Amino acid sequence: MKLEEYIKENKTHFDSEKMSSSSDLAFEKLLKSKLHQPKKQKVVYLKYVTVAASVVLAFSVFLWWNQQEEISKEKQILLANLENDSAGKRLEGVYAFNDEYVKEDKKIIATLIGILHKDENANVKIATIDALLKFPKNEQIRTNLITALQNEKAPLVQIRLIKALSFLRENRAQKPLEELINNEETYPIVKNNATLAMVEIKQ
Amino acid sequence: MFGSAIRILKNREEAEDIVQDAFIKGFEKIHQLQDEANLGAWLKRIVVNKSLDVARNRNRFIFTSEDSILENKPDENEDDIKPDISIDFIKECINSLKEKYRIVLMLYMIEDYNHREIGELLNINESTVRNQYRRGKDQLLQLLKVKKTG
Repeated sequence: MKLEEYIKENKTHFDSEKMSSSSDLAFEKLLKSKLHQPKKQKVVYLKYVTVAASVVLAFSVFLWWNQQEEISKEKQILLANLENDSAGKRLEGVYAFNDEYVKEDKKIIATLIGILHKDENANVKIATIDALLKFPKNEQIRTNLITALQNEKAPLVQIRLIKALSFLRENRAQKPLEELINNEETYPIVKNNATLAMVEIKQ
Repeated sequence: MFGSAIRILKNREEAEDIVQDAFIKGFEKIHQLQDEANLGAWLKRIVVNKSLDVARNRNRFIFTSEDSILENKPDENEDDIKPDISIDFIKECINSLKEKYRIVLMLYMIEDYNHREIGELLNINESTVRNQYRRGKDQLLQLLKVKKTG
């Protein structure tokens, strides 16, 4: 028999050696020291990310708080103007809201609605109606505009309210409009506007 | 794989270290493995390469490509051995061969690498591998005869 063939056929006899049991422990140690190393780096990296994220979060909170403080300051000035005894200041407040205040703030809207019903100055009321029209979907504003039309006596304010409700296509305004048209005391120009508004709303 | 390492190094501790290191290296470079089916062969190649590196560093053997002229092929009948010869005796004889012959014989007969692959592993010409293999085999046959008769 050929030597080469004989050895190849009995190859398994050369594989009798087995690794010692202690090598398992050594291998485990080696695994930890070599392959777990990047994990540690990852943890360190994560730590940095966490710290950076915390700094960014803290800075954002600080900015937000500052902004809120600024907003609340603006709001306070606005409310103070709206509640001022001077009609000029109130008008200033309404225009400031109209120009700068885009947020639907409940407290400010309630103050504006109060002005709509109770203010003695027609100019302030007219400016308030324009300001309230910034939020056409607000149900509270729509119903209060209808109520204001029912109670309003000043012709210029009446006309502004009629135009506002016509613009809003407010169906519920038909009743107060009819009342105005049928009221003998109503100015003819107001009646004309009310009639036009009725037609607009019904379309 | 442990068997391959110990056959090259003839040292248990070193072979164990090599196998463990090879596994770690394998894990780290697993992305270089092109065919998953060859994982075993790939890891074995790492073990063999590392074992040969260690053996080289110990200066147990130096391979050179000086034997590039193929020697005359000996008579084929000279390869024949008697059927009563034991495999343990052959193992003993292989282990007593010179390092450079022993390793080539092991890589060719036991690890199943061909001459070209062995050349790549040892960084020598294929013809040198063939010569070393033939000389190693001749020496082994001599040893088998001498030890048997002696």
